[in-house]
Amino acid sequence: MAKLSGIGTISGFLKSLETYPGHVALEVEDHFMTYSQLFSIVGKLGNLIIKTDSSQDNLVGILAYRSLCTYSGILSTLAAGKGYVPLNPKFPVKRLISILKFSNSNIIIVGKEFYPVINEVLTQISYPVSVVIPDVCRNEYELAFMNRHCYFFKNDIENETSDIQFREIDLRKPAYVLFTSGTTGVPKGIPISHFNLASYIKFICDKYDFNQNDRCSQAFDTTFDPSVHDMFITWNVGAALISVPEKELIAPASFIISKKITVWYSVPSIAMFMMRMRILKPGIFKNLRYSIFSGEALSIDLVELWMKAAPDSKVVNYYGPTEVTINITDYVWEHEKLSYNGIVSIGKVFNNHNYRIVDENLHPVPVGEIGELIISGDQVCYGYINNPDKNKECFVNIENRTYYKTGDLVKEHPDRNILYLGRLDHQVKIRGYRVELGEIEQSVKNFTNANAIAIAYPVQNNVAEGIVIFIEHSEYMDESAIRDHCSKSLPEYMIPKKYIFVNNFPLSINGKIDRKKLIEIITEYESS
Amino acid sequence: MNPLENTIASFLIEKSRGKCQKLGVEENIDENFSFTGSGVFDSMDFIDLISQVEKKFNIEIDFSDYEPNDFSTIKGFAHCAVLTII
Repeated sequence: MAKLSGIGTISGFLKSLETYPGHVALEVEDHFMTYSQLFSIVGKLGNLIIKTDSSQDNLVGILAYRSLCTYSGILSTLAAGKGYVPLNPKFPVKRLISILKFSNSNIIIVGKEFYPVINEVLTQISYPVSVVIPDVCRNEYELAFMNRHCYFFKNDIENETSDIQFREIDLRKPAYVLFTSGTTGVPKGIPISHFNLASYIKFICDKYDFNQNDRCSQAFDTTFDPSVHDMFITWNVGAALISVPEKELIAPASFIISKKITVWYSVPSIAMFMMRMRILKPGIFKNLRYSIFSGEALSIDLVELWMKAAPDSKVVNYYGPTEVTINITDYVWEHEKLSYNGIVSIGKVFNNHNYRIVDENLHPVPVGEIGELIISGDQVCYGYINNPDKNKECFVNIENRTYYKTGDLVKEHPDRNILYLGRLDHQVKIRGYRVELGEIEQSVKNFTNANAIAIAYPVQNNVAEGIVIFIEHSEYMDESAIRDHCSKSLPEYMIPKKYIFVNNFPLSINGKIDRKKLIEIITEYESS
Repeated sequence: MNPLENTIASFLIEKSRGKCQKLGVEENIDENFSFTGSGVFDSMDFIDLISQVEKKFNIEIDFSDYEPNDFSTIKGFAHCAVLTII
């Protein structure tokens, strides 16, 4: 049986600290820190956290963004044997408060990026919180203190020793908790345990030759779980983590080159931006060994252009819902070229996990047939926080194993590589007919050669009245010709009622296509 | 600034003012306005703006020789746009 107690996720960083104390662990905001320099901060902050609350039960909120405070705050929390809850300054204050309350975070670490909103947040938290502000001294703090909260500053941290006493902790407790929007408006908390994360780190580090000479990008916001891959895979192998400033994310080519990045990991959209800006020129990324993408569909066109820009790089397409710890399938483009409708395969489920592709009655479908991917194994979280209904819906027991129902429609190739087809919840019913929105999108894509997103609209009581199709194209397109094509390729009830042309699809803060914003556009369109 | 650069800058100012108005944000938009960090433009808006400039002026802007700092302001964007077509 796997070990269920130990010092947890911090162990990989400590191993690298021992082996490579002088190696660069982190480059952020034009500064770099070696493993030993970073650890001296982590030890002090970790000791302050333990003094404040030594229990493993309460979580630590990280209100910091792409700064030293962000990374040292996360590491210190884990060094103290606790779990962290990342927050994002791009979230509305209401959402920040809701997450802090829901997660019962009684310690929060606040970076300068959150100073503009911190008082508004603290005013609305009625229970006492320990507020740790590592970047300023007590006498430099210009905001109002609130009596019910307890404040700690840079000078309080500096008074601590960096010699931290690591404790045996329960590895089934969360290393981090991420929140996604729930259907009822209450955030859905996904706790990923030290045990889940250890399984992921071991699998990835055993399979890929990331090493101490690598310089790995950190492009994801910490509220999106690939950031956990960035940090803990990098620190597990003794490599350098290079934080990408937000202003570079629009076109990080010169950043990748000047920082000599060897492992790049982002959503495909960032590569797409560079493609549109005509930046992806052959041979520009000479140092890249790995180019990793996840979070949305990866098109062959983009991969082929990227491969020319980074000729010595392996392109890896990862897939994984947050509930199964970052990624659960991988596909290395270098070896095979499997795709479906121009989209790269998501590859095989990690071989230390069980999976099935099932129909709506949870019966396996024949190979090659479409079904929902369900997954069981060490990376699967134990369930949403305080959400029994959702747990019952999403976690099912089959032959004494707990499977997470991903809600993703896939089909399996005979060689066991998986092709991603879309979300189960993009399946809608129109006049009793079951409609797969992906099929409509594909039909329009085939005709226009442009990206298309189909939205069921309006939807009342789970019944869609029609389809609106968004087409990503800046030039004039003949709507009637597209409609004519659809009428020839789709059943009548699947033909879109409205055609809206946009220069670019709106993206969520995680870089995925923002369907809610598309619905807002339809509403505006209707009222104009 | 050469005349085309001025025209592109004016176009960008107009578009940026329109975006602010739509969002209900009060911003003093001039040629020093920065697209990044303003909270007005996200990455997709920026790409959208590039498409609009390319379409309006019938040019293809190649940003490969520039760093984000070079084209993050209206003035910088217009300058890079003109240099790529000269």
